[in-house]
Amino acid sequence: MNIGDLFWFFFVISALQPVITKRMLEYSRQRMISKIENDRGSRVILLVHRQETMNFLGFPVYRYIDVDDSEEVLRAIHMTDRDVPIDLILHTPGGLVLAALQIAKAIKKHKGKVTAFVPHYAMSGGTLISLAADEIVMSEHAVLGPVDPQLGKFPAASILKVLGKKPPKDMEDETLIMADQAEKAIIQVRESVKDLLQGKPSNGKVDELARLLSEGTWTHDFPITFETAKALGLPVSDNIPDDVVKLMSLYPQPTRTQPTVEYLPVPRTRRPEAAPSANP
Amino acid sequence: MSSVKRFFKAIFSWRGFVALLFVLFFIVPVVQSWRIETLRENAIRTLEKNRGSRVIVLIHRQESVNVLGIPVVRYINIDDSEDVLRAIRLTDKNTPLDFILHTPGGLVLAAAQIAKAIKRHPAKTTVFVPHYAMSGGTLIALAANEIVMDPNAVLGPIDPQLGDFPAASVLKVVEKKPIRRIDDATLVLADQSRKAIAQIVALAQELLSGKMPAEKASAIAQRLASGEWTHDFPITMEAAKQLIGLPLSTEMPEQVFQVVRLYPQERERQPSVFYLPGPRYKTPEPAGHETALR
Repeated sequence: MNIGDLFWFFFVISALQPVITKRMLEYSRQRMISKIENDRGSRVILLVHRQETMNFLGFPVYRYIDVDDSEEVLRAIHMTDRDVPIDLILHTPGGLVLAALQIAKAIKKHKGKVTAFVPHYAMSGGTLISLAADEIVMSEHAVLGPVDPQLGKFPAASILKVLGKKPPKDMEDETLIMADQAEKAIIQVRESVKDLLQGKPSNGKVDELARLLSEGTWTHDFPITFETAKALGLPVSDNIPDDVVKLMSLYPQPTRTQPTVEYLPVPRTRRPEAAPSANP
Repeated sequence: MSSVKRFFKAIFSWRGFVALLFVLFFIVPVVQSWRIETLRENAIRTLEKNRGSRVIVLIHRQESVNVLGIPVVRYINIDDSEDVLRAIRLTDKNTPLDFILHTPGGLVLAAAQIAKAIKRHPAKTTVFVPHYAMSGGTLIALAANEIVMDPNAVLGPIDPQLGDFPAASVLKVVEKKPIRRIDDATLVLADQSRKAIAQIVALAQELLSGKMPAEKASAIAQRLASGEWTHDFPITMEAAKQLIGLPLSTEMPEQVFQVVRLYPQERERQPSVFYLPGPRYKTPEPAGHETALR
């Protein structure tokens, strides 16, 4: 073996390395999913949107719930027996109302118990999907968000505020056009939320809750914490299984840049307890 | 003999191995695309054979990002209508037509052409909606003798859109503002909007005629085209049944899903939905366990 061969050897290894790493990651994901499925006797579906790295020209690619996602989730539900419980793990900033509603309605229709797990955040469309579930399991610091519709870059509720404050003859034509859409959009989302919450324990407050979530009470990025969600009367619980959290760590941000958060990746307990276990 | 020996020696050397890898890198994608092509043809052929029909697939996936980083949006355009009309022309008058629709909609002109061709076909026409057929897709569905929807699939309103604006909302401006305060551009749009809505209502009515009483057809056409909802409003199977009152069934052959599945999103991006592939049945064993969970 001469220098040239050695060079080729390293070339091949470095070419194959990413493929092998990816395969191994995929394998450990599948093992984790099937472990949770076996433990809970359920079908596990993940909907994870990480804000992708830049594409090769340097534009960041934003990920959100789109029609392809809803198609894929519906396919998974389609392949699940009607009585099998579904565990939906959500990590998403939201997305198209159409896609989120389609998933939410399909979940609402499912016979078996549906649990939405929110390990970190499920804003907007993600919250809409969670509302359809029988139970929402959040980790202690996870957040949901308001579901008020957005038209382009403007919140529908804020556009309507303009209509309320200015006489129509002084408003711009474009604002009036958007106000008409905004009005329809808000009513549609509110009615859908009402439908989704129908028959849930929080029955008495359904109307009020739907209005609060869909009529722009807060800005669109307002974090609804576990405590707030509980106070609102949503069927939330905070005992998220460790396995779900572990599973999420198998879906890391696919970045090639320097990580911005650093810590030693081990559990950390107070020193006196940790000392004996550190010995072996 | 010695040349064979030399050949093997070349293959098993490092350089030969690397050359082999390179060849594989180029050949594998070609073989893969050829394979998926064959699978699609077979799936469509099985469906045609089972139903004794011509199967036409109209699928618009939001294609991945193009070279410049701008996502390519796909919709029903004139190329599509041309292809579909060619397929219909190549179909015997007595052969039933089966359409598989998966589309966000598109040009009114193209959708109308397809819809009219379906309406004119003498044999039975069926539209399958496995996931969604909004806007122009719904218009095409209205033309069919029967619509088959998955219980979770949706249709959409068919109110026309002018550029970024829904025609119905443009008309609202004219209602709300005194005319001399309105921009000229908006007035021009409003004139087009009025015509566009009237045309779509007339078209929908024509497509529905013969399947129901005229008053009912006109009421449905009005509701779908007048901008009662936003353009992305999902009309579910139940709503479509009550509202449209068409022969609507949910008896979707499993093969339709198989066909759609063979047209995957072209992506180099990461998938965002994960589950273990394969059906999930209730196993008799964990039944007790599961009730304990509830």
